Amino acid sequence: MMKRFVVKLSILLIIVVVADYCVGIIMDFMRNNAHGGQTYQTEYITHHCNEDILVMGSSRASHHYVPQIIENETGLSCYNCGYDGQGIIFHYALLQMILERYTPKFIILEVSPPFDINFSDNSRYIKLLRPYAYNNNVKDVIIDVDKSEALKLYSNLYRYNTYFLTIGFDYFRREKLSEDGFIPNYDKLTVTPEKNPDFVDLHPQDSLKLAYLEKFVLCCKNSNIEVIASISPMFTDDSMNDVLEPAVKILNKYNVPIVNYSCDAGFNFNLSYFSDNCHLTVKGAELYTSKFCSEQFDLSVLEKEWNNSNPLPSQK
Amino acid sequence: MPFNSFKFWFIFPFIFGIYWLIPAKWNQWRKVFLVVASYLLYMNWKPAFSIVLLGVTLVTYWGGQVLSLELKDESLESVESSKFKSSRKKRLVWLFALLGLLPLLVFKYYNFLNESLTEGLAAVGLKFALPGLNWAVPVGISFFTFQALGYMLDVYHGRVKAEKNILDYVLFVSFFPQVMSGPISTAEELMPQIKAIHKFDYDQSVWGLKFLLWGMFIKLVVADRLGVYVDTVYANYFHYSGATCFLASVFYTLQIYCDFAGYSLMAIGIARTLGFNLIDNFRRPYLAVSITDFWKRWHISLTRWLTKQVYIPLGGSRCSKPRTYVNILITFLVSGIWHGANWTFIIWGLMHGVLQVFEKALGWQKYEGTNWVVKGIRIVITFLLVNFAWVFFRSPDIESACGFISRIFTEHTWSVDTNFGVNPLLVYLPVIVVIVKDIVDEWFKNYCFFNNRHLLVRWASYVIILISLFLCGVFDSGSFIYVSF
Repeated sequence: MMKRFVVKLSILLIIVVVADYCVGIIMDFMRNNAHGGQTYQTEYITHHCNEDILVMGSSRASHHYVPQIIENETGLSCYNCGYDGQGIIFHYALLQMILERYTPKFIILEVSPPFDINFSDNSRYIKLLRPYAYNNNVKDVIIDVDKSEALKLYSNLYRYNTYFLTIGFDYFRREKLSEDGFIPNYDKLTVTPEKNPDFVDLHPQDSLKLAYLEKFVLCCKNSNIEVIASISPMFTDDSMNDVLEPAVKILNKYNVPIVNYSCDAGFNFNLSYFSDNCHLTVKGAELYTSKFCSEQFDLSVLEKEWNNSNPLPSQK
Repeated sequence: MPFNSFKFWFIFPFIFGIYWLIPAKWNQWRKVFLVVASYLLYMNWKPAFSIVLLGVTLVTYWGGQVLSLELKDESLESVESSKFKSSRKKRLVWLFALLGLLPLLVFKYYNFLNESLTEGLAAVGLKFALPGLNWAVPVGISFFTFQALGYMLDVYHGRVKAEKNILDYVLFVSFFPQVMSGPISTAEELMPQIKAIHKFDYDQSVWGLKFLLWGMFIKLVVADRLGVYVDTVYANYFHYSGATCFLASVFYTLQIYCDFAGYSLMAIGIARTLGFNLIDNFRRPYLAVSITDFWKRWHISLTRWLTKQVYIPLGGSRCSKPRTYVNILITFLVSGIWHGANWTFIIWGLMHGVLQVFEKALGWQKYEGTNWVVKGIRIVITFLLVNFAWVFFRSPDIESACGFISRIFTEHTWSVDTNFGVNPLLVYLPVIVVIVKDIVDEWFKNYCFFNNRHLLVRWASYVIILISLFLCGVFDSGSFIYVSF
């Protein structure tokens, strides 16, 4: 009786393991060859991008920094790697994958307290990373967030949990989310919004997020990448100094410049620049990117620093 | 330890293996092993909670012994002294019942009673406040307390004999598949199974795995996925349209069913693989044709407990109509209070009680006709009534519940927020699968997926459900809703 039970259960498990293996192969293929949507964008960032300047951060990065303006202002190529709802843990893993291929010159890191400082369930940041768990650096990040993932990741089905449909659609979809990673917001505010407590209120700190912020900065320093940490405009008159303090301490430790535009007078309380209390419209984003470039990119200085730390072969 | 946790699925094969490896002739050791496993799994929540579990077990065991001695003496006494003994027995059962209920009252209801009393006195201008307790409520306290209390009341009423073997009784109260969220078993059905020597039964174990698989599916793929949307909308309902609030209320109705039925199915499945049969707790409740019918299909073990220990002792339906109605209301008031120390649960319980009284008064509690249109309309109306009652159950306070319901009826922007955080198909498809399965199980039994006569259909169902668990399940969600009761 027991033997029969164990044999049948084993057959069922073998079928599931085979299915798991096959689905993994199909999903890997579709992900690698996706033509559009988020899947293509992630694939581009992790396997193809080679721009000099990368923008990293949450949706506030993807909606606020216009690469075309940055390129025009600096003469360097730029790609916006910002992701809705993602934070420093996710971007550290992305950076690890990027660094395996090439070293960008500059990174603009948009710091958002809910995703980079405040305590929360960090498992949300590893969901998008699971399909890339074949990369040991990414796998280490995932396991660091949740130890039980070490076993779970043996399943290909689990790696594509909830994303298999998106990947499937993106394989057939032709249109890309964006050519340069910038996602414009066209909705304008019509009424004054309430403040966003996730950004402006003081929350308990998340030691894991802060540890990854430090790792991120350290990794950039070791790879001679210039980092500028930035806080783009918010619909608030709060400079968020208290909220940002833990991140500022780490950034100061490694001499990373921090620029805070959260309550910049040029943007503040102008409804046409905001689509909600923490996101700029395309008009606001263009204005902000121009302002950011003109005020923060002293190109001659940055190029000199870059050349000093990475001398050209002829200069060696 | 919840059944949806990764840790449990790592540990359970060892429990299963060791349990069946212990030879049947050493049945006593099997029971010792189950008690140890049950307590260790329970202690995984918080070791201190096990003291409460053990306390309730010992008090009710002792109560059972004392009451059984009283019963024995009573049968030997004269009529006069028997009357005296009977009142003594009543006092004793009250004493032991209160002792058994004490942890439940302290942990779960003290703060509620304290706050209600303070607010009530403040309303008449009196200032009085006792210090509040900041203790976590032991997991499943309402379930194991009711199971243990049910045993003692059964001994008192002479329905079962007092259990002498303390090991068997400890296992009866702490048996790990059911200690957290039921089903609430009776001594009559579970004690003989504990005493029996179990031999591995292939069919029983296969059924157990089928229950387990379906329970996992409806919990991880349906309940937890819907829960993400429900939590978002309920937390900020004032920002959402009436249609979105209504959709969230329907989703919660489905979520709580899939969450609790999912747990019950897993508990039944796990118990079956170990050779135990637990009571089926759900029978497609949202296909009920009346609220009375709903309660014959929803949380069957609690309904049975309340009927046996509250409704019938109050007189049940064998008294005048008004008295029967009062009995129904009291029973559902107890049901509401059992669910939680909050006015929202009391209102939820009373709503169900009042609706049943109406049905009884109008003779609408049953429908035995064959008209599918009438049946369909009754099912939809019952579903909507249950749905609105769940709003009170889900809301943190009465004000929020009323605000939520009024938003559904007064906010007429018919735009529905479908930002589920994942592809909407991952939300709608599993819900459709659950609805179809319930309909098939109710009216087209021959076409059941898991019990299909065609091997290919059966195995395809197992594989598809297993694959969907990995592809669509929510693996990082919290515990089961009913565990907190």
